[in-house]
Amino acid sequence: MLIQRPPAYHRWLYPQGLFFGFYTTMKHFTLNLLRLRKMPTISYPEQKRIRSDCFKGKHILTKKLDGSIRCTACMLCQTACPAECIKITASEHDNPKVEKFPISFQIDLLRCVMCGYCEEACPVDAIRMGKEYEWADFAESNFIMDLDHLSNRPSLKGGVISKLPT
Amino acid sequence: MTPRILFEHLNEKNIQKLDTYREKGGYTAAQRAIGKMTPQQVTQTVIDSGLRGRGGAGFPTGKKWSFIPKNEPMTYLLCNGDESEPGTFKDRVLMEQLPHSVLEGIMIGSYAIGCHRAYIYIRGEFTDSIASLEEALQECYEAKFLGKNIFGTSYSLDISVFKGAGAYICGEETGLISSLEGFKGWPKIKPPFPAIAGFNRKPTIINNVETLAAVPWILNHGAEAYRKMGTEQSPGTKLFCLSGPVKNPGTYELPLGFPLKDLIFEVGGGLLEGLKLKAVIPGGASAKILTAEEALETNLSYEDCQKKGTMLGSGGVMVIPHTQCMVDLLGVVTYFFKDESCGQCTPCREGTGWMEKIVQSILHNRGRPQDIALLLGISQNMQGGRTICALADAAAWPVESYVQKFKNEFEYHINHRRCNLHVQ
Amino acid sequence: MSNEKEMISLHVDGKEIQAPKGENLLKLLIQHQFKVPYYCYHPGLSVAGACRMCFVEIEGQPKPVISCNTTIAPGMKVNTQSTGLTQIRKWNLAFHLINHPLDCPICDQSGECGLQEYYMKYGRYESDMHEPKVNKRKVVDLGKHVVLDSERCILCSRCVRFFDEVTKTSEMAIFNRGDRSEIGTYADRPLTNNYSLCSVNICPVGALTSKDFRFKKRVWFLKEFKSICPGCSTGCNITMEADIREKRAYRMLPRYNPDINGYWMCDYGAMRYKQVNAEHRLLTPQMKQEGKWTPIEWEDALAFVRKCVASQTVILITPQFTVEEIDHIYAFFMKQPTTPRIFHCVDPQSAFDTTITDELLMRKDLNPNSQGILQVSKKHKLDHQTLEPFQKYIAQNKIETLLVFAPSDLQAYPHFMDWLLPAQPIPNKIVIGTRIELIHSFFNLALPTLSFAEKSGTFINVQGISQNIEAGPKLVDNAKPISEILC
Repeated sequence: MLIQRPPAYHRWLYPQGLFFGFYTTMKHFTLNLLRLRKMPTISYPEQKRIRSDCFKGKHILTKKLDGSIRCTACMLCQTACPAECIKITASEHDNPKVEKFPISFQIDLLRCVMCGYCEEACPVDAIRMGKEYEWADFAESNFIMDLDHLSNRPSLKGGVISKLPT
Repeated sequence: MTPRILFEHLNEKNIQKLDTYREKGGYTAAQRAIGKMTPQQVTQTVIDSGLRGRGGAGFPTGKKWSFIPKNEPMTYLLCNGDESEPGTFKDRVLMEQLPHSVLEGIMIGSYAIGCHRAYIYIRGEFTDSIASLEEALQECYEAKFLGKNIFGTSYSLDISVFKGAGAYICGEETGLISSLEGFKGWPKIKPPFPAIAGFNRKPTIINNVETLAAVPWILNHGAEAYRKMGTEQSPGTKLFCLSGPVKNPGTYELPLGFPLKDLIFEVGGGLLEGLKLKAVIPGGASAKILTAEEALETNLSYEDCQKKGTMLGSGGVMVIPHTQCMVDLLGVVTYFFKDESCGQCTPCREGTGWMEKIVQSILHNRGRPQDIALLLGISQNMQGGRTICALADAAAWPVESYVQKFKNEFEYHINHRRCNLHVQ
Repeated sequence: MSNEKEMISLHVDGKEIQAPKGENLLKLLIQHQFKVPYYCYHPGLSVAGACRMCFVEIEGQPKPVISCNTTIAPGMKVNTQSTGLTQIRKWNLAFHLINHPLDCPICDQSGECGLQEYYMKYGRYESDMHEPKVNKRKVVDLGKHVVLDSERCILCSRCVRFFDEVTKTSEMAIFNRGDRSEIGTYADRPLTNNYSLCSVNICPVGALTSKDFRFKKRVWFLKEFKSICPGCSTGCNITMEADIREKRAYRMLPRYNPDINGYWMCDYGAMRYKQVNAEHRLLTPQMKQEGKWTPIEWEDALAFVRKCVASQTVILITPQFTVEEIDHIYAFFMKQPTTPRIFHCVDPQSAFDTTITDELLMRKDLNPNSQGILQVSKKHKLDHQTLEPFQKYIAQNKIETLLVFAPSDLQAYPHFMDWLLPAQPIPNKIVIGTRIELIHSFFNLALPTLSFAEKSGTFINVQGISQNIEAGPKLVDNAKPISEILC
């Protein structure tokens, strides 16, 4: 049912409402346009925010001083992982002092909840959460990081070396 | 002049020969015991004499013999001539110089427990003792003193010499049995005790050479005569091996209860020129150490040593002069026990090695302040029946006593990273 | 002598316990679940008294004594928990650990390690050991099944006593003395007896590890279920361990049964778990169409079976199925209108052969259920229908369908396909089994069924003892039990 409203005088006052409605927007627009104050946003991706040290980003597998992988394939991260995104296959190392090492190490980033439990569980400082957070991609399979990607991806610039005694 | 029982004929010429030994009245005790006495009478005489084992523990010998179950068809007597306690060199004197007195003791002992097979376990390094005893055995067999129907009685006995490879642990009763059985010299878990199931799982008595060598005299002169010497609880005489920087080191036969002071300063002639007495180890390396003050008040008897917190042990009296660093000495002692631990029980296997490493690091100026408490902790947790045999206790006692009594030297080593003796 | 042993009563921690006279105190304490730590004691072996962990206080004794070398006495008052005992246990555990490497992350034993277990209770958490540890040999190859790591060894001598007393092969010994002691075989000779994996199972730490299980899986991912070894007619009691998420069996461990296997099982049997894993399994029903094997749907397969069974059928059963399954097969075909001929391939001679072919347990008949099939066939009065009549029958008569219940353990039947050769002219040859090898040019249709690890049922061993097996997780999704295939 169509209701015929009586004409009201204040329908002519809408520019005023419009002005008050846009007041905040206009204020920031003007101030920012004229660079009258510091801008709270950054110009991503040219400019990147600095992350704190405890930021939990993309995982890194650290290396020993000789450049070999530090992980001993103890599977504690796999055990601790609440999202069940880690899959490790252990193998026998030629050097009896090393004995066990991961022949494959996969983390499914799509499953990962970035909780950092793997980092906490690791007894040998082999897995760390890095600071990278940009991992958008097109194919689902690209989100499964393998051993090489975890330890040697180009952004790590040759890998992260942990200096703790082995 | 002190009475002589074991060393009665020590200085006779050719006493190693059977003929000379018989001329001096040898084998009369054995002959009388086997011919005229019952085994119970022999055992009773030894019980009455109060003879205590001379190997270290001081267990009454006659009582030990009476533990053998009656009418057991197969029993063994083992004579322990392993003499592996550092600072002890008494059994080899007996075995080298007076082999027939040892054999006579074995004969009487075997008769008392009714065994027909006895072994003398000697460490392989004692080549002279082995040669001397083997020669004596040969003579005895030729004279029909051993073998079938000895002394014309129905009693038969065979004695053989067994050469050990030389390990401290093979001087322990059950370790000796394992070694004799052809296994590694590992002590066996008790119970069953050797008197019930020992060598080849048969009742076995193990006696020290010195203990057995004293038995013929007791039978010849009677228990009462033996009791007249020594003290109430430790009758008789004992061989003491005096070593260290004294003027006259050597093996001396002295009645038990003899003052340690007199042994060092009169019999031993005192310390060498310019040396002062710092400490004495009264009973071989495993006994707890006595400081000079304590040592001067101690009498060499089982009960008095026990009262002073140490033990008479095997009678290896070692004199420590004031120039000796106790940390260094403990390093040697702990190394010995680390090397000689058989490795069977965990506290001893790991504890001896651990203590040795700590003492070495203190000695080599890497010590930490908490190491003293740690050494005491380790040693206290190794002793008191924590292992199968007494080696762990033997290894722990020196550490505990050295650290407690000479704590200042250990602290000096740790705090100043050098030895306080080298400063002066 | 009566079988009933005289019972005596004693008090442990204030609780009264009845026990047969002459019982070992530690065994009794373990049975009644008193918390007494121990490493060197094993109920199936002699007493070593080497680990010194099992100290208890007995009233009237001046010092604590090790319970493993104590025989119970009437009226004995035992105390298993006190501050003094805790102190002893703490120090003894510290002695065990000072030269033990911190290998837990790479050690296969972690999760079921005695040291870890007691460390949580009796650990001295601040390490006092600042000296270098004693180095010993690592990763020593000891034959087909065992790897030795001397550093981890706590010298409990269980393995040495096992080879001395149980297999009586005496391959292992402790070399050296003091803290240099090491277990090993003479000149590192391989362990060649059939029980080497038992030494791995009884090792309380990670010194002896199984080559087969090594680094495959952490033990906490595994789920246990009770089963019976399908390797031979002895029927050793086992615990099967499988990862349910991964749908994969990882190992078989012996389970105590005093009447059959004691605490042990053989290496041959311990490797039988492999046959249940997917890579050895027939995953879907497959049919040979124009000479090529192609997967088909269960409905089509079952329809084909029903059509074939209605014609002149011969059935051959191998004794690797449970009693219940065999009974179902017999009952199902006895009901059919065209009475089919049911045969089984049990050799009655070897089925009753109790001779041990190795050091301890293994028997000549490599089937777990020969006795079961004989009993079921006897019930249906068909026990005389063995392999020889089967071959004669198929050679003489015109048959349209052959239904074979194939063995899952092909080791027991190296000549299985040769036996079937006379059946070549039969048009419809259906096989029901578990193994991938069944996709053989001989057959027309292969149907996957459950392996021993996935079904519950009964095996009857050579002594006539029937034992139940517990169903584990289904490892192959598309396999069906016999009762669903024949219905």
